Amino acid sequence: MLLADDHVGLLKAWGRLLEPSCDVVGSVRDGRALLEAAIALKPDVIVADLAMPEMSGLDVCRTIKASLPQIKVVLVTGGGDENVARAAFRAGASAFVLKYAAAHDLQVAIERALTGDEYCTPTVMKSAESTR
Amino acid sequence: MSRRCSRPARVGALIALVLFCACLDARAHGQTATGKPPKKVLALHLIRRDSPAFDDAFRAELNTALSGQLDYYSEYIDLARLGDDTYHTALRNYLRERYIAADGVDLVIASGPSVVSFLNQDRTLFQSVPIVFTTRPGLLAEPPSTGIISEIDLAGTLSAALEAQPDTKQVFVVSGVAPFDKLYDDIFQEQQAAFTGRVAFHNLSGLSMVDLEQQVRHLPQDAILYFLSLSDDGAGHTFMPLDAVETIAAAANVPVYSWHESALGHGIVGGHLHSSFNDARETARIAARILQGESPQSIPVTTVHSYTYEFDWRQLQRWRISESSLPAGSVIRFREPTLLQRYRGYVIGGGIIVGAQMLLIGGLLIQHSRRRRAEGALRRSEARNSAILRALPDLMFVQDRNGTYVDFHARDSNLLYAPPEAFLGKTVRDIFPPALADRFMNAIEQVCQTQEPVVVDYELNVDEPRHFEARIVPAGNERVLSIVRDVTVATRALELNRVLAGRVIVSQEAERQRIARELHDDVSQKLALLSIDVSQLSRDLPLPEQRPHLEKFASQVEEIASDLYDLSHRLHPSRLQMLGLVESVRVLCHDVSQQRDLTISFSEAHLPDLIDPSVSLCLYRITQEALHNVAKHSLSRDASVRLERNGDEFLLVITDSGIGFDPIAVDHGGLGLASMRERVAILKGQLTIQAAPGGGTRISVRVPVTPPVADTELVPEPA
Repeated sequence: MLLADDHVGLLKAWGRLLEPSCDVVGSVRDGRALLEAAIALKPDVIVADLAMPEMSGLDVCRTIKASLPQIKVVLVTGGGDENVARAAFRAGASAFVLKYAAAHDLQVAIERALTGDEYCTPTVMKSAESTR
Repeated sequence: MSRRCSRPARVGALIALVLFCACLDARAHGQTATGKPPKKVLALHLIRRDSPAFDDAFRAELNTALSGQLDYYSEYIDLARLGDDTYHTALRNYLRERYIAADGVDLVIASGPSVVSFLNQDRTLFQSVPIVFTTRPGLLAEPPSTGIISEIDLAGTLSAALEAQPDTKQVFVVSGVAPFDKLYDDIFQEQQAAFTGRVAFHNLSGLSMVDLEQQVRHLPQDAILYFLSLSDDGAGHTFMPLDAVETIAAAANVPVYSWHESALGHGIVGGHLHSSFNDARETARIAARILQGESPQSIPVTTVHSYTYEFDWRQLQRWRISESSLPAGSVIRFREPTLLQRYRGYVIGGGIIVGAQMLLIGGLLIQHSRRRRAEGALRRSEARNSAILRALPDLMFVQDRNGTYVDFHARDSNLLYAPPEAFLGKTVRDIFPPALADRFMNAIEQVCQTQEPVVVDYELNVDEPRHFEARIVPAGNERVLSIVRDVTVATRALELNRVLAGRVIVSQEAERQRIARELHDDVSQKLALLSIDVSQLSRDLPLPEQRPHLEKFASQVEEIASDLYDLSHRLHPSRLQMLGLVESVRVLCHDVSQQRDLTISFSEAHLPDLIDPSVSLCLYRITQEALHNVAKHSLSRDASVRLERNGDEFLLVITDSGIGFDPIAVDHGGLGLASMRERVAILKGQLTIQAAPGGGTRISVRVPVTPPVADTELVPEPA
C-alpha cells in the first residue's frame, strides 16, 4: 500500500485507518514523488489525493496504468462530483472516494480494487458507473 | 454613245414649235374657247402718248366685265395741241383705214371733250358704232352714244387754298396759249368771280416759260400761284403740262396750287383735285354694259364729280401750312414716314434685340444677385468651415484612387508625419512602410467600391510610437477624404483600462483561487480528518446506544464538507486543475445540458495534455459565460462548443441557433461580453462575436498557446 497526499495529517490518519489490515509501504506528498515511489515499490494499491502538487492524481493514475497496469489506484479527493469521478475512472482508477467518507469507504474501496471491482463514494455519484 | 440630234434636225424642230405656237396665238386672238369673237374696243385719248392716260383703267375694267374676251386698241390723238382741219382730216383717214376698213370696232371710247368734238365733226367715221364718252358739260356725242359728263371745278382749289392760307391777298394764275389751255383759262375766269373782293387775281398767261420762271421767283409774300394748264407757252414752245408745273413750282417763291390730281407730286401744294382715273373707271363701266348687250340709248348720260381734297405733305412742310387748316376730309399724300415708320423693321428688330438684351441683362443681374448671395453664403459657410477646420485637431488629406495626396489640411504642420512638399503629389507607398501602405491602399479601394467609410487604426513612430485612426470617406470623383486623428492618448487610456480591468480579473481570480485553495487545502482537509476521527470514535465507543449521535455528527461533517466543496468550486473551478481544460469543458457542457435541459455538443482536436492555467481558466470562463447566455437569453435548445489548437493559437467556438442579439447594442451592456473581452485582451487574444437579431450567435476566441508576459508598463505605480 502506497499513500500520497500533500496533507501530512491525512496521511497519518489514513495510515491509522489502514494499518490494521494493510501493509503501508510508503507515504509521499506530491505527484511526481508518488510516480517515482510507485515504479520503485510496485505496491498492490495506491491511495492518492486527486489534487497534489507537481502532478495531479489523475495524471499519475494515467501514467501508472499505462506502464504498471497491475497496480490498483484509489483516488481520494476533498471534494468532487460525479464528473470528476467519471474522469478518475476514465484515467484508470479503481475507486473514487471522498476524503470525509474515507473512514468507512477507504477500506471498502481497497478491498473492491483488489478484487478487480470499482468503488465510488455513494454520495458522489449514484449513477457514475452506468455513465462511464 | 450618246443620242444627240444633228443641227438641221434641231432647227426644223424649232420652226415647227414656233408655227404651232403661232397657230395657238391666232386662235386665241380670233376665237375664244366659247366660240364668240372678243369685243373690239378702240379708245381715243385726246392727249399725247407720253401723257398720263387711262388705258390701264379702261382695259382692267373691261377685261373684268368681259371675262378676258377683249380686243383693245387705243390711239393718242393729241387734240389738246393739234386742232387744225388738215390734221383732223388726216387723222380721220387714218382711223378709217385702220379700224373701219379692216374688221371694224364694236365700241369707241371718246376720252375727253375734244375727242367728242372731233367725232361729232363726222359721225360717219364710226357710223352706228356706239360711242362712250367722257366730256364736259354742254358737249355730247352724236348717237348712238352715252357716257359721263365730268364736272370742271376750278374754284374748289381756290377756296381750299384760301382756307389753308387765310392771309392770301393775291392769286397769280398760270395758263398757256394752246386751245386746251385757253379752255381752262376761260372756265377759271368764270369761276373766279366768286372770289372777287376777297383776293386780287393776276393772269400770267401768254408769257414764255423763261419769263414765267423769272416772274414767279419774285412774287409777293401774300400771294399764291394757281397753275391751270400749260401746253404751249407764249414763245410757242410746247410742254408736257406736268413738266411745266414742275418747272414753275420749282421756281416759285410762293405755294403753287392746281386742280388736277396728276400734278400732285410735281411741286404743287394740292387743291380740290380732279381724278381722271375715276372718270376713266366710270366710262369703262358704261362701255362694258354696252358690250354686254345694253343699248347706249338705255343708259342715261350721268354727271360725275370726281374731285377730292388732296395735298402733298412735303409742300405743306415746305410752306409751313398746318394740316389742321385744310378742308375736312383732305387726303395727305407723300407723307414722309417718321423715323419710326421708315425704320419700322429696324426699330422692331432693334427693339426686340434691346428687349432681349434687357431681359438678358435683367437675367444676368438677377443671376449676379443670386450669385452674390450664394457667394456670401459660400463665404460664410467657408468661414464657418474654416473655423471648424481650425478648431479640429484632425489632419485631413484628399487622395485619389491611386493613393496620391492631392490636398491636405493641418491645424499644426508639426502634426504631419512628413512635410507637405514631401507627400503632396506622392502616393501612400512613397510615404509609409509597405505593410501600412498596403492597408491604406486596400481601405481606399474598398471606400471607392462601396462608397462606405472605412476606419484604419495604425501606429507610427513620430518621435515616439503614436496611435492614429484614419477615417476614410468617399469624396466623389474617384477621390477619398482621410480624416486622421491622433488617438495615442485615448489608445493608451484604453490600454490602461484593459490592463486595469485585466488586473482586476486576474486579482479577482487569484483571490478566489486563494480562498478556494484555503478552503480545500485547509478547511476541507481538517473536515476530512474530523470525519475520520469521528468515525473512529464512533467505532471505538463502548456504549453502542451512543453511536447514532456520533454518526449523525459524522453526517453533518460530510454535509459541511460537501457544501464547502461546492463553494470552493464556485469560487474557482478546481477541477480545471484536477481534470484539465478538455475534461473540465466537457463536464461543464454536460452539467449545463443537465441543469438547463439543453443539447450541447462538445468537440476538441489537437489539444495538448498540459495547457497554461491562465489560458485554461480564460477559455473555461468564456465557455461558462457563453453557455450561461445560451441558456438564459438565446431561447435556443441546442449549442455547440469546439475547442482546438491551430498552430500557436487555441481556438474556442461557441455557437447557438437562438434569437441572436445586436452586438453593438449590448457590447457595453450585459451578457458578460465585456468581461469576455477583457479576459481575452489579457492574453492578447481576439474575441469575435457574430450575432444578429434572429440569426443565432457565434462567439469565437483566439488566444496564444503561450500567454504573453504581463504588461505592467501602463499600470500606474502604487501610491
